[in-house]
Amino acid sequence: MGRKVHAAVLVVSAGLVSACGTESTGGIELVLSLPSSGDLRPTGMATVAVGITQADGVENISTTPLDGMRFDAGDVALDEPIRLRVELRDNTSRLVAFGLVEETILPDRTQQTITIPVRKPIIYVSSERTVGTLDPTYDGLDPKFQGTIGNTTASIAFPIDGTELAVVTGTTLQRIATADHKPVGNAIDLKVTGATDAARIPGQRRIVVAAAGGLVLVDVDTGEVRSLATAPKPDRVAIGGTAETGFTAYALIGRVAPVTGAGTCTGSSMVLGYSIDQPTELPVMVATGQLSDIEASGDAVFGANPCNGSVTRLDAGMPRLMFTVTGAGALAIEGSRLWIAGSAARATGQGARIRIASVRLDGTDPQDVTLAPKAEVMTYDFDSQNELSLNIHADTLVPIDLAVLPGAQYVALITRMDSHRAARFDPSTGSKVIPEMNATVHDLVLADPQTGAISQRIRARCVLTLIAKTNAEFADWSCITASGAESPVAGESTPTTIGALYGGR
Amino acid sequence: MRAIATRTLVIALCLLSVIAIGDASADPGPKRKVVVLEYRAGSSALPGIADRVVSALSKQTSLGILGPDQTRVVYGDQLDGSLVKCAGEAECLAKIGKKVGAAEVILVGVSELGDVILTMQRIDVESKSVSARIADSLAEGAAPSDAQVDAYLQKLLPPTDFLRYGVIDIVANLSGAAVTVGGESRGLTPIQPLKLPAPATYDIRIVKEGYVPYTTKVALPPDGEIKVEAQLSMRGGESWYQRWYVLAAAGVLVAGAGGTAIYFATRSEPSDRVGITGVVQ
Repeated sequence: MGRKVHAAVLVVSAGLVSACGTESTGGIELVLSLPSSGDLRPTGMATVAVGITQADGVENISTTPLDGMRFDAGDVALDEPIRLRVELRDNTSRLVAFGLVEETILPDRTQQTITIPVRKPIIYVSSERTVGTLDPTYDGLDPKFQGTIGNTTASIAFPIDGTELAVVTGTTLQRIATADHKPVGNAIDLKVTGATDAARIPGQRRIVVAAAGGLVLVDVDTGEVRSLATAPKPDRVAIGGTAETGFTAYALIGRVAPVTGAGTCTGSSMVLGYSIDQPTELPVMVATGQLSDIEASGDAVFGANPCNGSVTRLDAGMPRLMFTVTGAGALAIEGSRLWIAGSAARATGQGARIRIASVRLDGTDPQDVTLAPKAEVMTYDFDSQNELSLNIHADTLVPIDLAVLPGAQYVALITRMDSHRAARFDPSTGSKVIPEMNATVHDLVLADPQTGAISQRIRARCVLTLIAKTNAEFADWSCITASGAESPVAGESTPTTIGALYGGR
Repeated sequence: MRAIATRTLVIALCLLSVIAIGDASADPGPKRKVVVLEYRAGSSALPGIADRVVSALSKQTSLGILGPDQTRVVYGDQLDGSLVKCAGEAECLAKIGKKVGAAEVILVGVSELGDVILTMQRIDVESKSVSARIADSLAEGAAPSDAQVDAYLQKLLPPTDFLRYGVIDIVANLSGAAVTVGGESRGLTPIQPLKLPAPATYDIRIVKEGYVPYTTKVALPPDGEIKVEAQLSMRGGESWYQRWYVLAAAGVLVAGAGGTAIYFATRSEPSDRVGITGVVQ
């Protein structure tokens, strides 16, 4: 009797299996769309890693070799929504290109073709000069490592998404294609000047610009501009919320910068929240304190206090204290982690350092590294033999801005070093040998956040001020001439913001 | 007649020189800095040959390779003039290598004597001497294939330069899960990062009773580190009455013609998956 039941089950099952077999199997074909030519087209790809994130946030990564230009990234369950990102790496595992799909994908029994714009993880640096680019897929010595984008003097640049940048110059916003760094569409009049920061509404082509004239919301496709607030003047902006609950622009007003030189932490800040799509709602006071930077993700808003070295959640969520980092000055969110740049004080015989910390957005898995001590060499001007030099250690070294490259293989930083050196006297005669001096150095730094190794430094600007030098035996000193990969190709500048394509900021 | 004899002699000498000089079996650091320079004795044959050597070395070794263009950036525009002055002399070339911080110089020389003569010298910067040298004679207009360039370099450099490794760091959300990499058991989680020959592709399987096995395929690049974060989730529907064939039997027995119901009940089983493929354009 039992055998007969089993047999019947098998017969029915076989029928069902064959019935299933007649249905379309479906599939997902990813078309990784690279720039067609030029230096911005990624090269040297050896492997492709496809990150598949399930609805519960768990990501599985399938890494496979590129077979010619094709690849096979395994399979996914039917009818379970996923998000996709791709990383192309060379044969030294260096990230050479990145792309992602912001929309959720539902695998079904149809054949879906999804085109993903894939780009090099280019770093964009804004200053009083033209927008500079760093291409981390090249070695620092390669002439293609540094570049510039034309007609962008005194602009700030922010990636909109993988395909375009927003470059704000004066009162206008110009889109720039990431495939060729050429302008796209017409310039948009923001009607405000003095842009200092911008943030994109997640998943959309709208950005909020913080400027001297207030907060403005820009739809980069339609050119529509709407003022969210005209005063008080925001210094930083971050976007929180979701499409379901609505988005909020958080404005940091009265930014308290990390202490430089012999200064002290002064000033007070406040964070106001503005509903983006409910213009009649009044702004909400989110927090007050001494904040240098803010970031937001979903319903969480984070603030960095450089005076007490804390990074906290400014909303009601937990945990309240995310990390303690001395001089916490800059924040970025990449993937599911909050990144923090702070400082480590100078020690005997070595200069101050930059500290890079990160923690998951839920407050778990804290990690941090400290970069190498900072010093700068000053040389005596009339030393034809290049024998007289001073290695000045940094009294303070603070982060100005932070960007995290996709996948967090590198972090990119703007740093500022300040150092004061008292005059040196001949102990036997009492005569002044070397004058008192102050040094201020701005660097662009590319570092590995896992090891703290600095992979590249560009000395953006070095200013040495000599005090009461006339009666010194060796009176005239200058910053050593930056050479090779440390030299900025477009000349010295004071960088203000830094961002990375597809990265966190 | 004399020209033919001379040419034959040159070719013979050149072919002999492939094995004439050198101790390629020495075992210097596999990540030492090597600068590749190009010297031409009035010949424009084999354009880009030094770049091909750079490319081959970058792909096949872990050496820190500095090509001619990069060297020019470090050394300065006078590099080409210095190369001409050196005229292939090892001590002089070693000075160039020293100035750019290299441990070795590979000088790719191209000259013409009827045929095109391609030479490669490996110069040790510290001892200022030639540690290996190869030469080959190529017909006019011909160029060595990639395989030939690889063969030259394998003669020029020690075999240890071509042994490369990568690291796979497997981190699972569970301890006590059995890890198999490339068909070989690697113990139970947590395990230390695995140093494995690269480039190579490895199948990874992580199994623990009561959990859905985790499998993936990883292409390990040389000198690369790939982190595999395995999330093993508990099996769903483990009770006997939840299995599909029992449900099918119940359908047959209870509803008679319950096939359609069973079909819909089973269509969300883990076996219902779709493939992801892709192309780079």
